[in-house]
Amino acid sequence: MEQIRREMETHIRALRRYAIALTHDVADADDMVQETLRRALDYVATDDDIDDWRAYLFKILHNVRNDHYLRRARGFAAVPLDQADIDSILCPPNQELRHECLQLARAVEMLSEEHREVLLLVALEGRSYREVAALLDLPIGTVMSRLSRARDTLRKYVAVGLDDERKDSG
Amino acid sequence: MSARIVLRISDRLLQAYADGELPSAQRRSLEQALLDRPELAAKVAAYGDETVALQRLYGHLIELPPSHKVRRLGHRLAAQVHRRQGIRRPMRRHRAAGMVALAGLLAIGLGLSIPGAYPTRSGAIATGSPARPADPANHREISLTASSAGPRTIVPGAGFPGPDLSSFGFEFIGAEPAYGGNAIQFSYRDRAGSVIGLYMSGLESSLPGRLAFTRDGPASVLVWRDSTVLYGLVGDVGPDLLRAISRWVSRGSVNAAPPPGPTNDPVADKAGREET
Repeated sequence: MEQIRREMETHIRALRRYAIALTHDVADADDMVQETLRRALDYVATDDDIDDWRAYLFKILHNVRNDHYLRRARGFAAVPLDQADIDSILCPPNQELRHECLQLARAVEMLSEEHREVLLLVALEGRSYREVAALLDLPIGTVMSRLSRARDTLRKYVAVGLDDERKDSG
Repeated sequence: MSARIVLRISDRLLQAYADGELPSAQRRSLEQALLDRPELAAKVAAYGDETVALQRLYGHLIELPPSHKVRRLGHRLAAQVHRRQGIRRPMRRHRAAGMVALAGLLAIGLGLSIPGAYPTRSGAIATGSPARPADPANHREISLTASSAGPRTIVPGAGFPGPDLSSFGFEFIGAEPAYGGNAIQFSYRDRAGSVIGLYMSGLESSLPGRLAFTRDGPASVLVWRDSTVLYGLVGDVGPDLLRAISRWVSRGSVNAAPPPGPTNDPVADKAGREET
């Protein structure tokens, strides 16, 4: 039992990290993780053939997130993003190279949802293309092209941010 | 016709290489091509840099403790899973692990592609100097000292138990199938954020019994075997520490007390004997 509990906690921490990275909003991320676990509790009673719990929880999280955005689009649960809070979590004030850290955080934030999720699943969570394709219900070619575009766009956003800063300081 | 002529190198291909997604033959062809194409190697390095930067940005979030509510839900879920597993055949996962094939880790021996969950992969790629096992400067074989530090503890880890490396400063962070299910990958992280990966695969036939050591950019890669298991250990923590860890785990997963600490004795290494 203790082993399963530790395993689950490891998955939940990864899930929460991913949710925060995806939303840049800790409160939103926590809501989504809670809802994910609630749904998993419902499903586990009937679905007894789950081998990869981490993948399973990530899959539920994506469904939860889709519902979440749907609700937002309908005007519910609009939680304002507190930029200072997320900045201090992602790039603590005493961090070396904080400026670059913030630039990257802004650039990730500017990516489209579909680019951000693929990029984070591969680069942060270390998921294979095949796993990402299964998780997002996408063809593997789409995963690759989204990933490629996400990286290109991210690089451009970071470069533009740096250029803007140079102009401002100049 | 040489690979460098027929290989069409697109950004997608470079990206797949950087993400460890290419099959070994294609990876080797690309690595050959990259040796003559520094501009493409720089692109690969840029992908690696981005991955490392994203991991720096978000990686530490895993240390944030979940809220009380989330923890409670997690415990309830674990309890449910435990109950369900009691109904299912309990040895299913262990049998699956026992079915791991030699081929997966043979790939490691032939030149490890550091897999997805391993952040240092990006660091290795970022150097622009992918592993070239055939190059004696990057690859050598050494003998592995038998573990003298005593037995080890099985950590009740994620999904499948992994050896306890806490005395080396590494905390167990998870386990998952690797190489298409042909191996189990255990991941560990230390307080500085360095990650090491330990791969274990069932041994179906005998292999050359020596420890293979190779460098992949900043990462060190060790591959060795004992009588039943083939192992791969990957990390950017330096070859001495990796060797000390390899001595510790090289008898596979056995239940016992943790080691007193890294033995880290290169002299003992040289004089050591291979484990069989």
